[in-house]
Amino acid sequence: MEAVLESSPSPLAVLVAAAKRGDRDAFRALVEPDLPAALGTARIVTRSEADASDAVQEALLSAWRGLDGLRDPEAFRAWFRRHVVRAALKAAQRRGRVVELDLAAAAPDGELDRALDARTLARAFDRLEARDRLLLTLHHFWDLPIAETAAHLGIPEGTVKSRVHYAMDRLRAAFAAEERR
Amino acid sequence: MSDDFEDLLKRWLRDRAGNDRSAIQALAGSVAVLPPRRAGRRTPLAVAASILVMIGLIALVAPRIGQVGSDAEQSPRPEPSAAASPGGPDAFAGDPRLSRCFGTPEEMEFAFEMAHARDYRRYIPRMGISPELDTYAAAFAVVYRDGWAGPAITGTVGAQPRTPMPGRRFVCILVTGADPNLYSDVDITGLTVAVTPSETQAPNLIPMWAVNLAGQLGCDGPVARIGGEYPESFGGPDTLNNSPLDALAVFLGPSNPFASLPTAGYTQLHAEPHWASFGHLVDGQPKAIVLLTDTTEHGPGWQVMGLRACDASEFDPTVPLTFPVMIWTDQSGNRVSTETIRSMPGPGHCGWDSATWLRVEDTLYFRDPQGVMAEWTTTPFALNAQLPRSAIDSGYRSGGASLWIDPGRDAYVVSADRVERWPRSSDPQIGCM
Repeated sequence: MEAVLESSPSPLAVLVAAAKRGDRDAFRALVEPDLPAALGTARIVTRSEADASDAVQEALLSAWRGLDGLRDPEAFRAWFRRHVVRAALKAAQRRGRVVELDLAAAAPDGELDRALDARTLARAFDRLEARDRLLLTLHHFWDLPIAETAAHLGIPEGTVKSRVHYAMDRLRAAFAAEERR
Repeated sequence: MSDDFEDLLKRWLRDRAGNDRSAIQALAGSVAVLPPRRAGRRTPLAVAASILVMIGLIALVAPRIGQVGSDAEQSPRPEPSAAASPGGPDAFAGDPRLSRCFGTPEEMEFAFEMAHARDYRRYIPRMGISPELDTYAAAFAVVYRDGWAGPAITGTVGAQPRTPMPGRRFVCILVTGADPNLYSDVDITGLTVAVTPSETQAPNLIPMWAVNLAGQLGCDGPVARIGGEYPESFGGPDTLNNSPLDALAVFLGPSNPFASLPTAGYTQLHAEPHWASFGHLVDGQPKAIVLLTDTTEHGPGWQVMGLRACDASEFDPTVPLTFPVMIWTDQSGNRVSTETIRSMPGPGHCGWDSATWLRVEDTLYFRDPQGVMAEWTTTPFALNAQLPRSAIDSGYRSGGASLWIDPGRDAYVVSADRVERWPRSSDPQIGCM
């Protein structure tokens, strides 16, 4: 039984192999579970509904085209996230600081204090550089461990730690500044 | 405090990320129309890039997945909405916007106005995402006839007019105050002018004309390295003021840190709530553009937040500069770029203002009657010197004087009544902190 298990490809490997052959349905099955997080991440980083959707489309296209470069099928999820990260960062940098205000989102449940905090935080977050926004999103939205964040960004783990630390410092400072306005 | 803040951040990130099921489903659906992996056709982006190169200033954005990537059988022949399709170009006969787009009226099927460019997908629901149209500025759109192969392209090796996909159209969208955007392979299914424009202007949305100031300049030579674009690299000095004009005046005043800006002669290029830009025009061409906004984090009031300019040699020569840089000419009297040659007073805060600094390419010379730069020279300044036989006429002129260079040694400024020796600096990078 054990031998059979070892020799049978995993469902993920089957899907990746099919996708590599050009099976779009297999590719969809691979990416669909991650689309909410991908779109959410892109939305946070780009600060724009339109750019977020655009970035995920770019990620889908680049992942689809780059499937042959994926050696380990089990690493598909992290690999696809890297495409999302790259596309979101690219979209954010292309867009600069064009901000679509989403005031409705500032009051999700009617709690005034929380709404005000959210609005202040939104402004503070938008003052960060795209790389800081991405880093904090990976760390606090995806809850990725340092090692995986480092792999996504292609930087050493120690650098991730220090950058998260400084990004949080900058966010706190921006938050405090926004509170004083 | 730290945990509370991180919790707040995590909650807010989840809120902002949202969970838009329809958008997620649309993205999942877009997988079905990804281009074949093994067909080896050019990517939409590659196509876009090549056309972008070919047509130069035209901003061309590739249609996204679902337009270019789909095969003909997957895309029913697109048709505009019968209920509220726009009229033809005849309604705009003589309108200069028609000629700013490409092609002839005969090649256009529809023409219409949009209250806000950012509503483009309300008019053309299946058009690809085009962030460059995300502005509240008004726009004018042209949909070309089926089969029109795009603008004639000349001068590029191998360039051919792009053949549109069957049933797809070229669309030109001209945002007020900007260059036309030409889009290929646009699915015009559902095209309509029965559109409710988006509502009030968001105060912090950057107008299209406020980005890429450098692209709006009409420089003869390269764009100067001073200043920067909003918001990437420029925050002007403290110019907070009650109006854009007042802030501009302060910016161009004595505290201006930029060496080469005209002190006057600015025309308002754009203005809308919270944003304004002014240009120094020469023969109708903007040679310097200053962007101001009152939406900065520095507090209430207007402030300069963007500046791009041509070289000072291109400014109106009758207008004084914010810093007295002397523009030299060539033998024909043409003003020469300050990147090539310029002279100016030495920095006063180091006590060097009695000297004149002359920079020719990467070499620095001093007119130094009081010897304040002696530490950096090996020969003294001379008011009446002998022009050495090895000196060469550089061809540069200033007033009635000509500049001669003794290679590897000093410069000589030759006028009708004397020859001045301007010693060469031993340190070409000298500066005053």
